[in-house]
Amino acid sequence: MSARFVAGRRWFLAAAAAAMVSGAAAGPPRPQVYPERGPCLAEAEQMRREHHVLLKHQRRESVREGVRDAKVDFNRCVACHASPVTQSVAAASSDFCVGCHAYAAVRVDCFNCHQPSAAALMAQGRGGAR
Amino acid sequence: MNATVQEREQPLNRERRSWLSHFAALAGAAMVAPGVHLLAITSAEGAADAKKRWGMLIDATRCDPHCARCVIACHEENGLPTPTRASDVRWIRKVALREKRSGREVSLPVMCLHCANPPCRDVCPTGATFKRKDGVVLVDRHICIGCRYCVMACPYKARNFVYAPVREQRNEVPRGAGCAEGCTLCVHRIDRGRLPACVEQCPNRALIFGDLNDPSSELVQRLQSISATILRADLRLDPAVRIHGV
Repeated sequence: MSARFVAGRRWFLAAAAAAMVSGAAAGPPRPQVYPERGPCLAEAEQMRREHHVLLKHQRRESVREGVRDAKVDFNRCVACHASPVTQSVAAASSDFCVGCHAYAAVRVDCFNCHQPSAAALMAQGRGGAR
Repeated sequence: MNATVQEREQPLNRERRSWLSHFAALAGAAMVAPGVHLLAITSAEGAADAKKRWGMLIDATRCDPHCARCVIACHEENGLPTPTRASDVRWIRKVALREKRSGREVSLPVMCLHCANPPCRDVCPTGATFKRKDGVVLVDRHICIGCRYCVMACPYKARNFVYAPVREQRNEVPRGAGCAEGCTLCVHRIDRGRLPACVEQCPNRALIFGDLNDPSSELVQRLQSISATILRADLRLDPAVRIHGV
């Protein structure tokens, strides 16, 4: 890859970032995160690319092997990422999970079965920290 | 390395990394003193224990015909809606049996019997129905295609099909439309050392839960002192749930 191309891309990214800061460009959705709720399982870059792999791995362990309270816990994801407004990750189009998946045109089936509401989790005594 | 280069190299690297991690896992298992790695896996907190076989005794002689606390407890624990139609799910149901000649009546709850040789698993075309190491028969809803073969195959009518979309799931019990399901022996509870909800709520101790492989458990002690029935023993399914007093 030529240094010139990299430099060009750098310029483009800088311009895009500047546009995003000024709010002029309608780029990809920026899901709201809440650092005060604690650190995520992994770096954001890895989570963005591999969250589904982590969840798929864990689903096998939990369903088939009976591993509970594992590091990757669907309910903890919901508890941390739920919007303060809807208390959910999938109720409104701006909520954490559906916001991104709608933009990426990926239909997410998780919430046909899993509970997307953190309010329900709190009511069942398993919010945030386990 | 700058972000652009990293992004372009990601697909290849990720693939290689995932392969490498498989080899690393194998190498790790071999390099560590024999058994150490395996032990670490099997002793993970709450993991199903192959030495156990969870089972239950339903003592119909202690069951009150007018009580349905076990059914209510099951529905509350697992987030099942109150059944109003024949198509609504019932993981546990109360049945009344009446012998025609003597007129003797008994009432008892019945649920999935968690067979050692479950026909529901045998007919499942995707492998969604499976038996855990500790003998609990479950549905992996991630790969259930809703064909309902298992519903047909179960001689105890213990399998249900979810027709309507579900909104009120309990967080520990994910469940949804289009999947077969049945009693889970409250795996989410027993994995944490608690009793199934129906057993906990029975006021007459008509339900006894325990490990069939543990001779000192209350379950095995009771089974040694009474003649519990194995429903449809002719089918040789070896159910983990036994019934007394029918």
